[in-house]
Amino acid sequence: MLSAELVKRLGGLSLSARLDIDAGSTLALVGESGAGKTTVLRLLAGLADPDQGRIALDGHTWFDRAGGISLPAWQREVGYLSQDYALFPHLSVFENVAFGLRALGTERSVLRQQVEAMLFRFHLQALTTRQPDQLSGGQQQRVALARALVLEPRLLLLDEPLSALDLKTRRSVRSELRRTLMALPSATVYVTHNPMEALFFGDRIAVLESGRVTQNGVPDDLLRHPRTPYVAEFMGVNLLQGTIAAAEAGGLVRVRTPFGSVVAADPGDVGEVLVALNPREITLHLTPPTGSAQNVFFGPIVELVPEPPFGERFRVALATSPPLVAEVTRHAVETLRLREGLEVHAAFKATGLVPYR
Amino acid sequence: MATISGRVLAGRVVTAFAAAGLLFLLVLPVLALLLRAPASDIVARLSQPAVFAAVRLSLLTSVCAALLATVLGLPVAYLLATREFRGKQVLEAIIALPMVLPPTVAGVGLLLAFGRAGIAGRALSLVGISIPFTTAAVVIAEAFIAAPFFVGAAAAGFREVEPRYLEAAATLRATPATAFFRVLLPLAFPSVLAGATMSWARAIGEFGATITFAGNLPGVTQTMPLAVYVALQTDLEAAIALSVLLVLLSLIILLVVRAVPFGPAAIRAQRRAG
Amino acid sequence: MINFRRWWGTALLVGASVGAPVVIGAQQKPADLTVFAAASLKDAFSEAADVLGKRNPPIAVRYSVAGSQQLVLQLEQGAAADVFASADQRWMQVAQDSGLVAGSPVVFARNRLVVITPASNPGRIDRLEDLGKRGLKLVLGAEAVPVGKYSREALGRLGDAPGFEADYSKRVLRNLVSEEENVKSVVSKVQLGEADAGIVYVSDVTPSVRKAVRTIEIPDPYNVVATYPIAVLRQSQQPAAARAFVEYFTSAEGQAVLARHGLLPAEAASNQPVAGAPR
Repeated sequence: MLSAELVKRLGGLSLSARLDIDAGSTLALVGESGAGKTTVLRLLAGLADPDQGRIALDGHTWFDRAGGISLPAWQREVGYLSQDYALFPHLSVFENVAFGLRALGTERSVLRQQVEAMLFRFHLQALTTRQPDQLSGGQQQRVALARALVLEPRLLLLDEPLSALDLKTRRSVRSELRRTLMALPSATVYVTHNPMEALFFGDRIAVLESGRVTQNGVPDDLLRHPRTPYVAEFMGVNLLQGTIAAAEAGGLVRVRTPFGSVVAADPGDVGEVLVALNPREITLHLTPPTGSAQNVFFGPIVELVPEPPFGERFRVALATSPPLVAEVTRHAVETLRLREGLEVHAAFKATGLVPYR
Repeated sequence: MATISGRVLAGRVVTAFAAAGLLFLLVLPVLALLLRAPASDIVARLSQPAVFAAVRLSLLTSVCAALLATVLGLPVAYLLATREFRGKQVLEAIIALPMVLPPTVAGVGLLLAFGRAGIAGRALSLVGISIPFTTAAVVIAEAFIAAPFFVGAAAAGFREVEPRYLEAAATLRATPATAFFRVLLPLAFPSVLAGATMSWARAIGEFGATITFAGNLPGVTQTMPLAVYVALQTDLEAAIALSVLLVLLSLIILLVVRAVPFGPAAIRAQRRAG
Repeated sequence: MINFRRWWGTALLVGASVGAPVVIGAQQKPADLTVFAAASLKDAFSEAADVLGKRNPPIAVRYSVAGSQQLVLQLEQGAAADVFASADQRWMQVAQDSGLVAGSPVVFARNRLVVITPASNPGRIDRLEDLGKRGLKLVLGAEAVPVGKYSREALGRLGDAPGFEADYSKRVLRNLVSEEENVKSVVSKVQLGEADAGIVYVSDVTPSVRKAVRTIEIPDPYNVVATYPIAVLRQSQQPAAARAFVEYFTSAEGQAVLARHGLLPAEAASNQPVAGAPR
């Protein structure tokens, strides 16, 4: 179990974050560049020291500013994968993987055995004598992982491990990587700016905005109840912030936002609330809809973006008031002949919308 | 037929002239020496005990001086390349000092420090160690003059190694010492070797500090440069032969270090490609 | 289109770096006389230069001072000078044989040797015999340097003296740790306390040197008298001024200056053995 309180001022960044990660689980750490993700990793690894705070792993204190404890990186049982893997260019694959064990003075036959086992596990046994510059991106990543994991670290830090790979490699590698991470007894921090990776790899997701953790929870939490506009955008969900203004018939309430009001389910509460709206809940119509949807907004299409991988679904950004993003099928786009600039009616029911704080 | 623009052609002409001028300045004296002394004469001289003694002494002391400069200089180069601290610029200036001091001045300084009546020399003589007039003094004088060349080249080489490799090493349980020997040094090896070679070359040609601090005695402290200087006053032909010997020796060693591949294979490959 | 400004800039830079030394060299007005003098004459000649400079008409003198053997080498290689003053006949003879000398050289001064030790006397040398003790650090001029040749001669003579062993010279020379290229280097090594003893000229023990050294006399039959010949050089562009310079030193005034700096007068007393003369 990792427990960390980190306070650091670095350049223009003012970081103040608290993280708790259970052993065996993976925390996806997301945020914009400059938000402080790499700084967090470096502080946990011991490559830099926090101005204030504490870092403890399974009861061992690695850092405590108040207590004057500061273990250097080589005394922490941490594994670190930087974005470009930093494989030692002058050493072979075998020697790269063996590096840490050699640094610890491991006895020769034990070292050989452990390195070979690790190479086998990552399907690298045919590449032992190769140099890093002779390996593909995917192979380099596996070597970097093997190199870190052979030391059985208690904390594994991954800085955007898939970003250096091309799309095809990324796809073929990620399932294997996830299986590996899930089988690890260590706590893992997985830094990414890719929402899909965060959802795929993270048992929990922590969002870092300008040095502060604005939300930390299971993926479902962030999807259903995003707390900041950034989190909502990251999860691909519409977020409205407003106040409950009045009650409506049928167990509904009217929520007033700066851009207009929305009808939602009655949460049994009053005051300032957040409302999350999944884009798939929005239907688009060329003429005013006749269904039972209590919310209808009219506005032009600003952007029409096919969703990867096959463009079977489309994200439609609308300049309605409030602005909305809908997700519709290709079929709908073709049928309605949707295009940029076209003015449509966007409709969604109130019943699924539960305001929260 | 493709035409080259006037500007490009003019640029090439100027470059050619400048290069020719510099080569002329550098090569002609060496060429003059080589043409003057017949090869058979040089071989004959080599067998003379005084000449042979000077050659052997020069080789021995210059290698020792280069080694000394390397061993003592590595930690200093490491510090200068990786750490920031107050007074760092002062330290860098002090280390560079022997490069700008007139060698004779350096010799006087060495005497005042390590001579019998010198600051440190006084203490040493109490334990029976006396440095001036010994071969050890030659090594010290040469190392003093040559060390800055090594430290400069090695520090530059260390700076070029990307910090991410050292950080990776740290996360892989390597102490700073382990990271130094297993990562930093191998990656910076070509620069370190170049620095050692430069310091050796400077050491073997050292004169002023040697004659002032170590003295001039055949077989003990009379290195090749000193032997040339002495011979110049009585026997010009002998002086020329010795000079040619010195030039050839230096040329051979410099060529060997450049041509023979040293260092980790991957780094050499990188340099070839890059 | 060639960029003229850039071109002229480069040309100027190149021209300046090559031409500056030439221009500066040409602008230095040649002094009236260039004198090549043995190292031991340095102080005496400096005083003489002051005097000659105040004469009417003044004679401006520039000195180049080094071991006599080095000076002859430089002259043979084409160095420009008007007068050469050597510390022994040997090197003046070499200069004559090379055709450098105009007319005949004149002996204008003499000198004698003396043994010096540092004031602290680390080698515990109180008598000449002590120079033969084992393990001493002795510094002499190299054989090619006049003072070096004279020193070895004196040591050889001492071997014949009563109370000295026949192999005295050999034993003393075993203590040699350095052969210096001019007498002043011998002085400084003893002054600094690095050498236990050295043999230099009497004139080298100036008031300032005296503070740092002790002297041991070499008695007369065994001491070597160095003779200093001086000559006008054939290449001189101002032979008249050069002759005047030589004449100054053979005059009473010049001899007085030399005497003030510890040098002996030119005429030898009849019972003194002269360096190089057969015994």
